[in-house]
Amino acid sequence: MTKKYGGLVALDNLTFKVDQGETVGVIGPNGAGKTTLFDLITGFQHPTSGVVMLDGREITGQSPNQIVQRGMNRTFQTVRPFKDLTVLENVLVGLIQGKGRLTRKGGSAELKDQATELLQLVGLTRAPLSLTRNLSHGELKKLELARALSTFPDVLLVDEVFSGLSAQETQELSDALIRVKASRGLTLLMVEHKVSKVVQMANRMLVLDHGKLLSQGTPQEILSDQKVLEAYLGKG
Amino acid sequence: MPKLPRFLGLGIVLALTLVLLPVVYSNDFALTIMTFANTLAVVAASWDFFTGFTGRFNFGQALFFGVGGYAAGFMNLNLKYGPMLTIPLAGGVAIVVGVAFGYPTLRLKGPYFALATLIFPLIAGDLTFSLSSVFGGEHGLYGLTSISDSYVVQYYGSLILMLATVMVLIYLASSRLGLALESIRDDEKAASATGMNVTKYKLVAYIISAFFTGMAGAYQAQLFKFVGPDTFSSNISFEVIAMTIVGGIATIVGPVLGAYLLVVVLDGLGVSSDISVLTYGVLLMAIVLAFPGGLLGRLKPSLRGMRIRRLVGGKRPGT
Amino acid sequence: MVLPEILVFGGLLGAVYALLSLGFSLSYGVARILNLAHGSFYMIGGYVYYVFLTLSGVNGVGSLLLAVALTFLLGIALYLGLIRPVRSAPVRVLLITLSAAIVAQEVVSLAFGDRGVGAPFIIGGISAPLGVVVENQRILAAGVSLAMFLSVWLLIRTTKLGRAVRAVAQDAEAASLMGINDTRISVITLGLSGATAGLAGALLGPLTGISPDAWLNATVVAFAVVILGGLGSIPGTFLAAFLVSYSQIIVAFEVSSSYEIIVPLAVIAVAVLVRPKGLLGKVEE
Repeated sequence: MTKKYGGLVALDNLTFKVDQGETVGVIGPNGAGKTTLFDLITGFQHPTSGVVMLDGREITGQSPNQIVQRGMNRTFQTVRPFKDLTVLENVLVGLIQGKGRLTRKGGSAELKDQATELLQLVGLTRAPLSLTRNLSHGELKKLELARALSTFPDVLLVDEVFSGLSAQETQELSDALIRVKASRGLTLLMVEHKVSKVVQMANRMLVLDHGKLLSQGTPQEILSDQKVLEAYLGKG
Repeated sequence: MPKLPRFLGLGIVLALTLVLLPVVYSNDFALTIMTFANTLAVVAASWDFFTGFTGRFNFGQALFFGVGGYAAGFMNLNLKYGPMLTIPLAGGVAIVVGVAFGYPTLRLKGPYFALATLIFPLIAGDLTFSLSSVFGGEHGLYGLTSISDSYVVQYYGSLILMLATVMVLIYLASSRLGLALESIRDDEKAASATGMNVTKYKLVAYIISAFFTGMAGAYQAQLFKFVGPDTFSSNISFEVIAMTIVGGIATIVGPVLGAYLLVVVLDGLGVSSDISVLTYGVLLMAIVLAFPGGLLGRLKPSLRGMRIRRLVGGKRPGT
Repeated sequence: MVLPEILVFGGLLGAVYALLSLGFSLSYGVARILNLAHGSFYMIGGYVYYVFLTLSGVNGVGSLLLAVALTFLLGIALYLGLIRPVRSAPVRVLLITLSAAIVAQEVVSLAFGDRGVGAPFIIGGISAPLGVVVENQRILAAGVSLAMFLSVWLLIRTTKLGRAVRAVAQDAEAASLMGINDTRISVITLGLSGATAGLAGALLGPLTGISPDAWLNATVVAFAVVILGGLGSIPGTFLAAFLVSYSQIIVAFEVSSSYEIIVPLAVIAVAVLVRPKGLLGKVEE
């Protein structure tokens, strides 16, 4: 895909694919185009040229909610909770609206169970009726994850999900992510600054620089790739 | 947790008071004031349902009010329908107008939509002038059938309309629809990431708001036996906003209280217009200072609690 | 349409508009307060001038000074009494300033009737700049407005206080971290706001007549000027004031003076749609 804003090329002929069940990490210096990439894939922006394919079907140009219904969801780099709703309601929205159609017809008991299970899965121990505005940053990140999962996606994109977290919170969240991936059988695409985390969790990594795909391969290959080291260190 | 939710208990007491009002206080003037207040209460509550829950400011609620009034007037004069028919049908017409204006504009960003809503009633008002043969131009439509010759019947009619509106709106606000709307209000982007079609939901709220307001406009037309271009006036649009903020935004019943307050103070005191307006201004100041969420703002958590109970059942869900 | 007429009248009006809008620019740009009662200062200034001049026998200049002093105090009172308690919620600020404006209108209306009053001029006679016949009072109004505008602008640009004001306008949080007292700055800003608008009212009032509902027009004009010129930009306010005044004069000459009010309203609508940041805006909307 290519994405241009006026004269500025945010993404230049970027091509890659992700197989089912993989965990793919996307790293790169600031401004490399990582969040733009996510926006393009999930329908929040549309590419200037190129296509996005999900499950063999083209989804380029679809709106975000349509893509969610197809089974792909994301978290946001800056958390976007529903501030004036309770923790429980934050999760209920997706359960009701999302791909988990069971809950559309499902009764209240089913909704309650699903919501409870979701909150436990991400490790959010706050009382479900707490107001979202009282949550800590780490808890908000978990809530963000729970909300993305409430639509039962097959593919999940997480955008800098560890940013601003303490060492312990990071560990809790990555454990949750691994747990979630295993239990829901997800395909995971992670944009991340904490390269160490990505190396730990990913099968494969993509390195972006200035909108171009600099390199891709297994974590080991990437870590020893000269070009990558230069991109991170050389240009400052 | 109290046996009856605070909301419901309070509501029943108030509803009873209103129902028994003519029995206790059979002053004709008071009845007409309350009848008028009820129609405006419907408009305010409908406004609150849209703006309070979706967070999108609508500065032109009068559009539906006028459309309802003129639709009723038209049907009454030309098709000879009585008020029992014109009022609900006017609501339907308002829905159509709501779709026509809402569909292209609700997808716009906040300030642009708000500006558009400001212009709609002006356009509609202009239309009544250009099509003056049909809509009477500056004279409006007059000689409509009255709802009843009895002030008491008029009052009860308006009360039924108001109570029905409030009950339906509260039901909807405490349902999945209400939850979806509030999530749109809090963060549209995140809301679309839950799989919902945000514009569709905004449109639904918009036309619901239109429906009840249209009926209120029709009721008033049949009440006064007249409808004029004033029904599109921005005064009405801004009044309902003030009523809602005073009474409590996103509470549905707050606007009703705000409407009563405004009408009673402005029209019901029997003093000069300057003093009425002055009183209202001072009252407004005092309320804004003392009540951050509006007079009935404290009912908001009750509404939320009602919704959660309906959606997931039982008392305290979770870990 | 005669060009000299338009040039002169538009220019003289623009100077007063600049002064009127300066206060609004300050209160919105610095304190982030959308004061719907801004025009009330204009209205009250006009009435205070009238009262002291005709009823209390104070001379012209004295009445002007009293108008300025009183509206200055009123601005402070408005801020401390009504705005500060609700500052955290912009909607409440809007409503409370609106109700203050309504109350002010009604009080004045009850005291002086709602027809309006016309106060005597400070200087009589006429002059003919560019061959256009103009009341000297009008020239005085423009001159004093200009002088006052420049004084305030200089104050903001050169004094320590002015620097503090600009700091708050740029980043209120950082400014408070640097020890700038937000309340003090807001009080001064609103006081200045009131005083400048009040002066404008006292100056222009004798020429146009002042009525209790004059606040609405004045607020709309100020709003239009500030949004056109860009929030937080004083040069922008200056420029936009003349754009608005000239547009109004042209409309009044060409079409009809009853359409004058459409100009600022249209400006607001267009500016919001096309360029939310205004012409020279620095502050993010």
